[in-house]
Amino acid sequence: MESNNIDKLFKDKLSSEEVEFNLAAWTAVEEMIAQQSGKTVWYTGKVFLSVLAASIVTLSGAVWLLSPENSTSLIEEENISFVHQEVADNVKPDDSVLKEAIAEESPKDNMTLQNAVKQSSKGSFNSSNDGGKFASNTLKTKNRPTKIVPDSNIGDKNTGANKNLVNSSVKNGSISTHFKINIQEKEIINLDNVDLIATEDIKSEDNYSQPIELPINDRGLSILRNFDFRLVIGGGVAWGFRNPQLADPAGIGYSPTTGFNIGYIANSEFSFKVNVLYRMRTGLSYEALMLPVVSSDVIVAQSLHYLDVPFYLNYHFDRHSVQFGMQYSYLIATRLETTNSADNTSTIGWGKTDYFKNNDLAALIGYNFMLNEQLNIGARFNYGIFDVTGNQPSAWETNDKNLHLNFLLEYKLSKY
Amino acid sequence: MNIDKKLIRSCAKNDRKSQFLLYRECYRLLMSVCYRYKKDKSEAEALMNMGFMKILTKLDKYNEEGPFDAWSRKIMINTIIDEYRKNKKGKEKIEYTDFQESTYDQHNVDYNEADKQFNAEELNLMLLKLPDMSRKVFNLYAVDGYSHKEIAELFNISVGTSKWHVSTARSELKKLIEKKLNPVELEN
Repeated sequence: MESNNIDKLFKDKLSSEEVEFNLAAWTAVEEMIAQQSGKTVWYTGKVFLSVLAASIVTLSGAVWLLSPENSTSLIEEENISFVHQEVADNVKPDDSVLKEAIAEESPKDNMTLQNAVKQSSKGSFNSSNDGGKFASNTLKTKNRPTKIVPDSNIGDKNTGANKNLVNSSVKNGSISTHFKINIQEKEIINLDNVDLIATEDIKSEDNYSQPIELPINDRGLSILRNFDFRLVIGGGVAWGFRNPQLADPAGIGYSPTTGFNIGYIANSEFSFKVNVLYRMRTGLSYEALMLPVVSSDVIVAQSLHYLDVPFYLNYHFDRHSVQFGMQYSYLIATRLETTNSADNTSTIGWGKTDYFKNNDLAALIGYNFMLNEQLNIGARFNYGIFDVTGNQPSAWETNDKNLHLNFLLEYKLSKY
Repeated sequence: MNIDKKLIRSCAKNDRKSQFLLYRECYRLLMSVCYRYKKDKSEAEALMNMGFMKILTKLDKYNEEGPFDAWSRKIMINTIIDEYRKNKKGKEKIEYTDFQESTYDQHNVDYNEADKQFNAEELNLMLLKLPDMSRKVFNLYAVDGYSHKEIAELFNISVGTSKWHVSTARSELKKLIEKKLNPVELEN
């Protein structure tokens, strides 16, 4: 009985005893979990799968745009540029419609120009003042413009004749200015595939404005010409989402960014761009600032430093474009400024902690406006998909996402 | 300890937030177990973390119908014993093959008064004054509900030795309790 009593005393008191939780102990366990989990966590994690899915979708879109069937080379735009000059040189004083079109439209805006040419060609469009290369071939244009098509539409039997047709077109100037310049461009490119080009008469004027199809071999060079490379600089606001049950205001801060932008202009409507940007983010929510505190140190400022890789499709109209895509972010470092409540000393520390996730993914929408050939301005909004503070000791109470609106200036460094 | 089944499933999927939540719950209960077996707080915490890691890795074997606290407590105790085995340099010197606990007890303890006077922390401090092996065996037998046969298998000792350790621990604890309850009488 005595024995039972003492056993009972200890059992009753100790078996139901609960110890107060020590947050610092979790740090050691976290390290053990991280060591045990290793990289498998990342490879099987939601972040990786989302990045993979977004990459596949975006790259599929890019491949589709880059495919020969869907890619219209920039030569077309450059041709129009030539046409622009040629038409301006040769237009008669009374071709007021055409003059206006030339004055108003940019070289890239070919539709209006072609329509203007069309209108003009209904009358007596005369390219007799060509001068230079075309001076000896000046004839009044007929209302029967010529379309250049790949020989695959015509057949091997016609290739010899086609070559002659092309040559004769150059010689007799019987084609419109538009096509004459195209042929000139062919000569500049100096491809040995003239025999791949055939001409055929177009029955209707309506076909006049159709884009010129280039031989497949021409596209290698033209694709290179479609790339551009820009310096990007910008800044904006960032703020964090947070648990709506908590009353504290969400942190709002700033997010300067800088880096490079590589773009592929697939055609006059679509382009695909990839940026490599450095971005700093302040503006973490109150909880995010306080959570890493496990001592008497109080965090007074914290910033996250990211390497961003946004990849997106642009849809262009006139000088405007809208962007849709994703952004992958890698946390390079965190900067932590703490003040010790005991001795009031401040410490600034750089490094990486497990309090913030290394990888993040965001949905992206944006708008761009072409100021001129060199400069674009735009705004981009990123909506973070994941809680970046997920690994913090008490992060279960927060929901702090990478949410930022940045205004960007893009300066064209070069174009192939 | 109320553990949601969803939380356990999330932990098994390596969700860090859920793991943190589970650790917080386990810590409150299992750390008290560790304190009973280890004198040093940091050692107790190290044991706690080792045990929790085992719990995490064995979550797929947990039967959701059973109480989680009992299951996790058992894993924790096994961890403590495994750790003891690893660090044990030699076999216990004292071996009793047929030890029988004496029914005679010279100490008279008012357990009702002791129950009122002492909280868990004070009783724990008393336990820590026991010899290491006796403390472990007493803990297993009296508090954690293991039988002498189980304890004998766990520590690779005889049942008699296990009984001897429990008896020794009881005797020592009674002395300590009596001393605390009647400090003047004992001094005289």
